[in-house]
Amino acid sequence: MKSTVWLLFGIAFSPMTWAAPPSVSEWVLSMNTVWLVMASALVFFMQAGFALLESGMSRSKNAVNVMMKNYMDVCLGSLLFWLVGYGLMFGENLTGFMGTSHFALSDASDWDFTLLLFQTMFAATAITICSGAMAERTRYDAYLLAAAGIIVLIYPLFGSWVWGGLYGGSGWLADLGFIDFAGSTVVHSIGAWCALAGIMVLGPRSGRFDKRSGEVRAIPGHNLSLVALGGFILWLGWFGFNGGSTLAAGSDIGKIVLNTQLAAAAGACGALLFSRLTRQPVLLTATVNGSLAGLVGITAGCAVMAPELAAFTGLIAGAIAVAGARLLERWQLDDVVGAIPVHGFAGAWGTLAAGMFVHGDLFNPTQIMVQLAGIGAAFLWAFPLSLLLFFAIDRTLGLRASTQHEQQGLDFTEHDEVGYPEFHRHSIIRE
Amino acid sequence: MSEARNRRAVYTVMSEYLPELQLWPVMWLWQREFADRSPFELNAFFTACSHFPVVKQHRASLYRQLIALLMDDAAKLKPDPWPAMQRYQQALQPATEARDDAELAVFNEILASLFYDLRSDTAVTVTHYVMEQAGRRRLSRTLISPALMEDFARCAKNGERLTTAADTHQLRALLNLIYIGLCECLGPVVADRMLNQAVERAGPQARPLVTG
Repeated sequence: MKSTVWLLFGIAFSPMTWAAPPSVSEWVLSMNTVWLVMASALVFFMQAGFALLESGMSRSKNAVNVMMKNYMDVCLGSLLFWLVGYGLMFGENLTGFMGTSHFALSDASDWDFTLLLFQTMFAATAITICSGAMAERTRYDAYLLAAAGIIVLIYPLFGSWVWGGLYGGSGWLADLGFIDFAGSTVVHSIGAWCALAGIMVLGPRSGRFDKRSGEVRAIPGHNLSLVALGGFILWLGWFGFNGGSTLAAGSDIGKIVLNTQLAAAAGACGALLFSRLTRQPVLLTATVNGSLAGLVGITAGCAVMAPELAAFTGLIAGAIAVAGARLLERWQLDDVVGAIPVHGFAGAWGTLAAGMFVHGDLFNPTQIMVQLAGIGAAFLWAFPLSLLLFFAIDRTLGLRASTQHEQQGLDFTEHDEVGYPEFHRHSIIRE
Repeated sequence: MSEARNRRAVYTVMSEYLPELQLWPVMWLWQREFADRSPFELNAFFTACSHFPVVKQHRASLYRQLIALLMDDAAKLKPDPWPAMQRYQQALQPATEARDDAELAVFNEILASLFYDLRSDTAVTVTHYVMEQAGRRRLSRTLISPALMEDFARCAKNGERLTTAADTHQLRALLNLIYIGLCECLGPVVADRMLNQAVERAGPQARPLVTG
C-alpha cells in the first residue's frame, strides 16, 4: 500500500505530468506521422507479397533467386533512394524536370524524414516490378545493377515531373494538372515499362515459345498457394499505399481505402468475366493478377472517384490484365508473372480513368488530354532509357544467364543453395 | 571482339609469367569459364588462378596489362595458342582415360534414358537441334570436340553408345545442348522432368554432369 502511494506521488510530480500540453498543430503532426509510418510499414509488407507471388509463379529451381532479388530490391532501393532518388524526385524543382536538393537527407525536419521513409517504400515497389517479369533467366548481379539504374535515374526523374517540388518549384506534368494520386503511372507503369525493356533484351525462357509454330508453352509456377498468399498480402499493403498517399491522417482515408477495396474485388471479377467470355479456364494466377490490376488501376484516381466508378475502373483493369497477358504471349514476350499487363497496361488505364471519372467533373476533355500526355510521357521516358540501360548491361556484364545455368536453376548457380533441397537431390549434393 | 583475339591476349600476358606446366591449365580455365564472359569479369579469372604465387603477386599488373592488350592493336599479340592447348589436352587423356570411361558410361545411361522416352521424330529433331546449335556457337566455345559431336550424331541415329573420350566439361556442355533441344521441342516443363528422371536413373555418379 505504501509503495503504491509513493508510485502515485512520483507520477503526479514527474516532469512529464507538468510539461505543457502539445499544441493542436503538434497533435496533428503527430497523428499524421503515426499514420504515415504505419502506411510505410504496410507498403513495406507489399515486398513480402511480391516475393511470394513472384516466387510462386516461378519454377522451384529459381525460387530462392526470385526471393533474393525482391529482398535486395528493398535494400538497394532504400539506400540509393535516400542517397540520390529522393533529392532528384522531391528536391527543389525550379525547371520542372528534376529536383536539385535534399540528397542523402540528414539535417531535416521530422516530417521530412517521415516523407522520405514513405517514399522509399514506393521506390522499392517500382523496381521490384521488373524482377518478376525478368525471372528465371536473368543474372543476379546484372539485375541488381539495372535496378540501381532505375532507382537512381529513371524512377525519380519521372516522379519529379508529377510529384516533385516539395521544397520549391513543381513538376511540369503537375503544372498541367496531371492526376496520379498514388502512382498508377509514377510507380507502376514506370516499373512495367522498364520490365518490358528488360524482357525484350533478355528474350524468352528456353522453350517458352515453339520457334516453328509460335505455340505458347505454359510454364506453371511451382506453388500456387504462395501466389494466392502473395496476392492477399499485396492487397493488404495497398491500403497503406493508397491510404498513406493522403500524407495526412484525414477523414478522406476511409473513402480512398474503400475505393481500393472495391477496385481490387472488381478486378478479380473482371478477370473472371473476361476468361469466361473468351472461353478460357479461370486460372488462379489470372484471378490474382486481375485483383492486382484493379488495385493498380485505382491507384491514380482513388481520391477523386466515386465508389461505383472505382469498381468499374477495377473491373476493366482486371479484364485488361488477362487480355494484356495474351497479347504479350502473341508477341512472344515472356513476362513470367504478368507484371507488364498488371502494372503497365492496367496502370495506363487507371491513369486515364482518373481523368475521366473525376467526381463532379466527369469526362472533362482537357483533363483526359492531360492524362494521355502523362501516360505517353511515362512510356517515352522509361521505355527507351531502360532499353538502353539493359542493352548496355547485356553488352558489358551480360544480362542473360547461360543455358547451363537456366538448366540447373538460378538458385544453385547464382546462390549455391536451393529452396527445396528434397526435390533437387541430384543438383545440390556435391561429391 | 573475337574469342580467338581474347585468347591471344590472355596467352600473351600469362605466358610472360607462367611456365608451360602451369600455363595450359590456366588457359583452359579461361577457355572453359571466362571465354564467353565480358572483359569486366576478368578480375574473377585472376581470382580463380590466384593459387599460383606469381599470379597472386602480380595480379594487379597482370590485370592492367591484359585490359590494355584487349583494347590495343592485335599486332602486339602472340599467335593463337589454341592448337597447343588442344595438344596439351590430348596428352592428358591417357591419365584421365579411366575416369573418363566411367563418366562416359554414366553419360550414356542418361542419354539412353532421355532418348528412350522420345518419339522417333522428336529424337531426330532434338539431334538436329543439337548439331545445329553446336555448329552455330562454334565448337571451341561450347568446348565440344568435333569428334564427340560426330559420335553423338551416330549414336542418336543408330541408338548406340558414345565411345569418344571427353572430359566432364564437354559432356556437360553436350547434355545442356540436348536439354535446350528438349525445351525447344517439348517445352521446359517436360524437359525438366525428363532430365530429372534420367539423372535419377543413372544414379549418384551422374551428379557432376548436371552441376556446374
